[in-house]
Amino acid sequence: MTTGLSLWFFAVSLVASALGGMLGMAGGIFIVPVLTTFGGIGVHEAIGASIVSVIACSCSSAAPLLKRGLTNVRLAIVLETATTLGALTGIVLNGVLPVSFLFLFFALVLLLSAYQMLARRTATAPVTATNGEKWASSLRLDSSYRDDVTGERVPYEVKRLPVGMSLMYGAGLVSALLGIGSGVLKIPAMDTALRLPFMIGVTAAASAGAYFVRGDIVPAIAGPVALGSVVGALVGARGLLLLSNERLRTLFVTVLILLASQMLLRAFGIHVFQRSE
Amino acid sequence: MIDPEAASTRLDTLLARILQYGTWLASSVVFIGVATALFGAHNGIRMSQMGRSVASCGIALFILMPIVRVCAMCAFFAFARDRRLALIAAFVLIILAAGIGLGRVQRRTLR
Repeated sequence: MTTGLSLWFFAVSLVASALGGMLGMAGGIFIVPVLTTFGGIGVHEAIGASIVSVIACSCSSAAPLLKRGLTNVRLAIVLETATTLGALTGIVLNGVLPVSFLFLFFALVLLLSAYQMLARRTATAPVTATNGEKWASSLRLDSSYRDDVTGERVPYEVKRLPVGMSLMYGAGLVSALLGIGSGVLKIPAMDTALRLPFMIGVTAAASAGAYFVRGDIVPAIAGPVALGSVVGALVGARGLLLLSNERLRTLFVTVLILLASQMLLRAFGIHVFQRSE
Repeated sequence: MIDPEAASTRLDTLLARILQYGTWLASSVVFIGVATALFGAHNGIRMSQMGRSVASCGIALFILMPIVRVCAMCAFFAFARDRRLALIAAFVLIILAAGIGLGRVQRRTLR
């Protein structure tokens, strides 16, 4: 453990979490590619550090949202049954799948995330529905949020709960498998319009607990990464007000595509940036 | 009869406090651990190992925070006699415990 390396982990995590925080998600999606590509860290150790970063990020940024009543904790706990079950599957797969597959799958998720980011330009409010309303109303999941512009409370209904649960299972699986926040795979409109930070670290806690006892979370890496994430999440929340959405999206998509190409090369055993020890 | 909106605000405030104070506590412990380990790197292996152990405790606190949040929700719903939501929260806690159990099994079998 050296001061220089610890500062580098801290800085990487700070920038990743600040960038993620500006877009309302954890910075885990950036941390694994950067640690494995430029830091020479093993993929499992990088995933371990990243999943701690996801918890640190989401916990530090969720408190203000909860205080302002922008969350729906009843819906959160229902969806968390699906995300945590998905996480259990992800933990099993993470332990048995070959490393090259993890890199390949990571590249695909990065590209999907870039596509979603571009698609958000046309995203609209998610109120379309068929069934599943009975569950939602019997569990009293419908709620309201305060509109920042008008200051009025806007009521909304939770629709298609079974479909949502299936998607959340997949999001939980990918989150645990790759050490990223499940926000990456949430329906963008739900994320932006309804402001439901469903997980607040619970999905990540399911896999982090397993990786902690498995020995994949190395304090020398995860410690500075966790600290950087807390600071980064705070910086990101403030940066949200400074940068325009359009510029931010362009930056985000460019970084995602660059990291995806790096991960694809790693999947095929090509190391462009070999760290000298 | 408990006003659902007031109950929801109370729960949100409780969870916000858990996350806010929890983040401060976990961050402080990790910081002390990392600083001690770095100091120990120049001043002795024992101190470096102690720092890593403290940092590890801080990381464990970060992981525990969302679990404590679910425990608080479970207790809150049970207290408010919202039996179904309390059971759902308890189910999430069981899954979280299963995740830790799975990690222990993998530690023995995969390494």
